[in-house]
Amino acid sequence: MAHALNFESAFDSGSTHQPSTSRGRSRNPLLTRTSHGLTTFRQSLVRLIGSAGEDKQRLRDEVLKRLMSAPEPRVFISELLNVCTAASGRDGLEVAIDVLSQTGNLLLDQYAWDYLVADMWRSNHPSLDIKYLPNDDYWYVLLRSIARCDAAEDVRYRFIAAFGSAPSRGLMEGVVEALGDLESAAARKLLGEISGEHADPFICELAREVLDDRVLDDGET
Amino acid sequence: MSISQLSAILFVEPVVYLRKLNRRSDWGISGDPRDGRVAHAAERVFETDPTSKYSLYRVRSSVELQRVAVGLNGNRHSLVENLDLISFTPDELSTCGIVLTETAGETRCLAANRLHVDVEASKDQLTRLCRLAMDAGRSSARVSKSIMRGVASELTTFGCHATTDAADHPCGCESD
Repeated sequence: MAHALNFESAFDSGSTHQPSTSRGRSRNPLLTRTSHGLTTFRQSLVRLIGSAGEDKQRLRDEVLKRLMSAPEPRVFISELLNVCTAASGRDGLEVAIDVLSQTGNLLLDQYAWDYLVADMWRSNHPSLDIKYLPNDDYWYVLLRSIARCDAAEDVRYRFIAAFGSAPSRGLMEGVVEALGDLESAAARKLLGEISGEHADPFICELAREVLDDRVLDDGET
Repeated sequence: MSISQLSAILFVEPVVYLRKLNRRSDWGISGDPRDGRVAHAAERVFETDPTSKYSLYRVRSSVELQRVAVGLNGNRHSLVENLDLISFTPDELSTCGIVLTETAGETRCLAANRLHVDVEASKDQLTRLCRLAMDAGRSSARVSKSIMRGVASELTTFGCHATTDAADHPCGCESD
């Protein structure tokens, strides 16, 4: 996936992100991926996705608790994204968003910035035979979850706005919806620009609708 | 946009079957190249899987649309979330040979659960269904956050189970 990301703006002088210190640490990813904790987490996720409405909140809390207490949260977040995007027909995307948006700063600090860097690297090396590429659903979930998490508003905005000129409809849809979840004037301004300028009529229409609803919602609350 | 305007977009009256969209782009827009749009929708809206049953809700009025919306969003962390829907008419479903089976839904609104049907269909049937609806000019419709805020408030007054956290709270919608 070749994203046209505004990479520099994501890492400008205002960014509070620090590269993860665990990156260079030697570890055995295979051992982590097959650990008992991860297996139990996966089972909890599958139960949550397949559950009736009456059980959702309890199971969501259980998944969130396991994620927040995980020794390596990034492995668990990755697993959550894998399982939930594969189950999108059973509301997997919204399950992922509802869990990840409650992880406070964890999602940005432990996962999203590094994931962005890795995705940039992959998209800048198209000649490499890389079997795995994230699909739009991954970014859709991440962008919407970041918009709702507890990190500072300007940090959330900076991350989302980095995708503001993405060429694909699927990715831009995530950007527009995430901007709609933010409260800031900057988000509203960017939504206005997208609604008037984007080449894809679907994205323009969606941005207009999101903006209109924010105006309505602001008037009512 | 009001719930009655949404009902009109979805052709709720006299009766339609609603399917929830995971993402707005799953249905696309009328300007998209038709064949690609149909294939994309059939795959994304129904996540084509020969072993799966697909959930639809039979809706005949704005009131039923409200209940289904609250029921579906009752599965979320917050009731006030955007909800994107697409509708299919009974004629479209029967033209494609798609059989509906009434089964109880699994939302927290008991009245919405009574409107639930299961569908088993092949990829070809679902593709044909999407094409028919698109040929008829069907658009997706969003129950937006501002609308959901009003709907949730109204159904809270009504005593809808989906608007409470209590496990043993009766659903006021059921007695209506």
